[in-house]
Amino acid sequence: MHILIVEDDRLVGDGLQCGLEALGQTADWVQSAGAAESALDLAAFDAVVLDLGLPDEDGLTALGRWRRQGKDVPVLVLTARDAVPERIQGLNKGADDYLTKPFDLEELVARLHSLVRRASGRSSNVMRYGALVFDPTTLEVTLEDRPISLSRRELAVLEALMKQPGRVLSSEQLQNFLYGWSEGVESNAVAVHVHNLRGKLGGNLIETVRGLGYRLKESS
Amino acid sequence: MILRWSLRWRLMAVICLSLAGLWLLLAPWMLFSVKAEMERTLDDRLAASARMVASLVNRHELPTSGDPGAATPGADAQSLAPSPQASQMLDKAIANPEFPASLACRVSTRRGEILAQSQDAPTQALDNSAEGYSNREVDGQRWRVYTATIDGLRITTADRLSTRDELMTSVIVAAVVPFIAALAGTLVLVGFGIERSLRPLQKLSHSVAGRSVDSAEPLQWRGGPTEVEPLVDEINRLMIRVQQAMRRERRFTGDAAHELRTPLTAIKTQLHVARLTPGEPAERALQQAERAVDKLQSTLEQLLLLARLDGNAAFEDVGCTTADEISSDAIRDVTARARANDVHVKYQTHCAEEVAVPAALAVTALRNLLENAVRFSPEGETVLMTTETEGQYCVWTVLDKGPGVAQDKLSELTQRFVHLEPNGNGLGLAIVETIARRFGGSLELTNTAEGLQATLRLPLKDAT
Repeated sequence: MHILIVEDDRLVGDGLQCGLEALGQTADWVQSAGAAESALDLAAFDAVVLDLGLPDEDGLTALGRWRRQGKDVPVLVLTARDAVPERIQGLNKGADDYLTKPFDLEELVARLHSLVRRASGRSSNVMRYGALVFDPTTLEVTLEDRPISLSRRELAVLEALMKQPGRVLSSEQLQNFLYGWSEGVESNAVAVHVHNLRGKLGGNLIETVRGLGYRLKESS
Repeated sequence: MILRWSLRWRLMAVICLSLAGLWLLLAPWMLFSVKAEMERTLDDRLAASARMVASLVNRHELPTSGDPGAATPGADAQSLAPSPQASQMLDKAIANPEFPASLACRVSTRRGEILAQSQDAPTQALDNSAEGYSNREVDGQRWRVYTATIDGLRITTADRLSTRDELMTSVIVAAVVPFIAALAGTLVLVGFGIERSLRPLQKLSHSVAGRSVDSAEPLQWRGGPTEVEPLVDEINRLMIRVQQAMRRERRFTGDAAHELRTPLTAIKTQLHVARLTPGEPAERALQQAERAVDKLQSTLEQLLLLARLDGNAAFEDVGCTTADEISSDAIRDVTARARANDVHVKYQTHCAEEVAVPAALAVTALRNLLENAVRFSPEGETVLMTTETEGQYCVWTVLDKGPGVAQDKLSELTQRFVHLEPNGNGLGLAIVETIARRFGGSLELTNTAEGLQATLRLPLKDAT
């Protein structure tokens, strides 16, 4: 998953970014509502982790505006306050879930997965494509019940492709899933990861659509 | 005792006591004057009766009366003799319905020969009476007697004093009974009226009892006495103040929770990262966690300091440190940070007077100001600090080279948890102001052409 973290506290934001990446996700971190809005305009995110006490604007106000603008990305709100009215207000303003600080990183990731799954209309976290099974919560991949070990980037490419099987994803779109902005990306990085995936999963699973990008091949 | 009674009983007691008291005060005077007036009137009646008898005797020209002009004292005594005709005449006159039945009457000569007398007249009572009014007692009956000599006749009239007493008693009864009836009626009506008037008060107390703590709706006072209106207004104002205080308290709790939970979240997350990742990233995560621990510790200490300042806890060593020592301690405390930010702190003037604020607190206040100035000054710039005495105060100014603060935000800066940049906790300036106010000083923030200037005023120790 590609997660946008909106958190003004440097230590928490840094911890969240490192933690989500350590748990196999791609995370970008911004420190203000304005920066978050630009990020949402520029790139596609699977989910947003939104802190409420932002320096430039209250998180809930920004969220309400995003919803009015038609940004329907799942949003998980973080708050250090535990006032119930605030929680209700947050959910009314369009938050999909609510987590009170301090929280457990794994719980955050589990909730994000659940949000993304609900948003994509799947009833289970586990994604299947033919004999290929991918569980994004445990990051386990099996092919014909055989476990397959993949790197973090390879998992991200696979997840992106499996989310919408049959749909063509361009190199840039895949890159967006793979890397945060802060990371330096080699121009052929996506091609390298696709190559490695083919090596581990069998050459004919990922199809190259010339000039457009990649997709999972129609299962026979 | 009466003060502890209910309003109704109190009012009824006051009405009862005051009416009865006033009446009892006035009653003797009233009865005395009625009695005097009655006696005078009845005495007049006695005299008028005597004159009436005299005129009757004259009109019928009693043979014994002789010439009225010749009736000089002592001369005509023998001419007055009882005659049956005269007695008959007199009896007729006295039996006249005009003549009051309660009266006794006797007509006699000056020598005392009785010419006529009313039938049941008390003979002894009418004997030998002197001229004018007198009281006599005969056979246990008391009489009021009037004797006058008119046209040579001696006329004595008398009436029973017991009749007068009966009359007086009936006057008293006529005065007392309506008063008591009116008093009782008043009490019943007043009781009923108070009951009705107090009903809105009962309704009010029910609505107060049934309120939730958060209810923002003001109490309504309709249809009740207007005297209670100010009380209801005051209660409403008090409730607004209480709600404001509660809202502030709640916001404070929320803010405190935020400032404490945020570094805790950072610690927890970074430790988790350290556990998940190997090598250098783990090391970095641990360092970040340590920074978060420092932040948590400083926030906790600041909150505890504020709590002690608010709670009027005692602080020791009042006024044993000079302004210069406070300045140099504060500067020493921020040196490391200033060096890290490449900002110089320049202290120009000197003041060797003692300050009437515990040294630790004065240093804390000044250090907070310096830390802010260092944090907001661009690299390579200088923070300027001055000290001077101004009357009974030592005045420090700390001027930074930062961007300043929007004018409308200036007053908010000293509120708790209000901070302009994400890594502050909004307690520093709040602490400075709390310290200054607690010891009778002040903190003032102003925008200058160069940057933000903080002016801290702390009282000097008395010269004595």
